[in-house]
Amino acid sequence: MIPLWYLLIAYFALVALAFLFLFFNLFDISHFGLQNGKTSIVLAVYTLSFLLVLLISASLLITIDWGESIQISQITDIILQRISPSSL
Amino acid sequence: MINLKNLPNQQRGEVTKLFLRRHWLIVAEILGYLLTLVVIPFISMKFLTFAEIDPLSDIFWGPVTYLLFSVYLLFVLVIIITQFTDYYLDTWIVTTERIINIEQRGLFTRTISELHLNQIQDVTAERKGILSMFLNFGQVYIQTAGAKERFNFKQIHNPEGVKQVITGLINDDKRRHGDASGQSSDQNHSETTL
Repeated sequence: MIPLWYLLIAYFALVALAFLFLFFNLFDISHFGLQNGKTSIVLAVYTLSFLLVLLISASLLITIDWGESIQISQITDIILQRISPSSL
Repeated sequence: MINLKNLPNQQRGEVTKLFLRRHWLIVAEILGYLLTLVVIPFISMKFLTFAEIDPLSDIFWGPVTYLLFSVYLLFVLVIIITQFTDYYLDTWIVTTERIINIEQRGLFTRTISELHLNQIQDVTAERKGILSMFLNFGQVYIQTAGAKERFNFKQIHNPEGVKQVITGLINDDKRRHGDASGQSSDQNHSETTL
C-alpha cells in the first residue's frame, strides 16, 4: 500500500524549483531593470501571477484525501479497463 | 537598477536621448505562447473525455492529474516570465556621447557594450518582411571602423527614426569634439556571467 501523500513530496520539490527560478527572475529585474514604475509593476505581476497559480493548484489539491493509500495494482486498473474491460 | 539620469561613467552634460527595447510584438508573441500552453491541458482533457477515459475519478490518476496540471501551470509561468525578463532587460541606450548595448541572454548571462559616438562609421536601418512594414519595426546596425562586431538594435520600433536620431547625435558630437575617425577603436566590451 502506497500513501497518496508520497506524491506531494515530488510536487513540493518541483514547486521549490519553480520558486527558485521566480527568485532569479525577480533578482534580475530588480537589479538590472530601469529605475521607474514599470519595473515595480513587472515585479508585482510576477509575484502575483505565481501566487495565483499556487492558489489554483491549492484549490484543486485540497479536494483530494491525501491520507488514503492505494495498491500498485490500482494504478494500472484504469488502463486495463480500457484495453480489456472483461479482465477486471 | 539603471538610472537614465545617472548612468555609469556619465560625462558632464551627457543626456540620454533614446531608451529602446524590442518591439511590443515580442510581448504579444510571449502572450501567444502563454495562451497556447495554458489551453493544451484543457484540450487534452477533452480528448480523454471523448475517448471515454475519466482519470479524475480514479483514486490514483485523479490526484496525479491534478498534480501534473499544477506543476505544468507553474513551469509554463516560469518559462513565460523568463522569456519576458529576457525581453525586458534587452535594452539600448543612446546618449549625446555614447551608445550602450545591453543584452540579456537567459537569466545568467548579460553582456554590456559601450560605443562612443565619435567611433561610429556607419548607421544602417533595415526592415524586412510584410509584418515589419505594417508594424514599423526592424533593425539598426551600428558599425565602427575596423570592429569585428557591430551593434545590432534588434526588432526595435521605427528603425529609420532611430537611425536619424543617432546620425544627428553623431554630427553634433563631431561639431563638439571634432572627427575622431581613423583613430583606433576603443569599444568597451564586458560580459557578465552569473
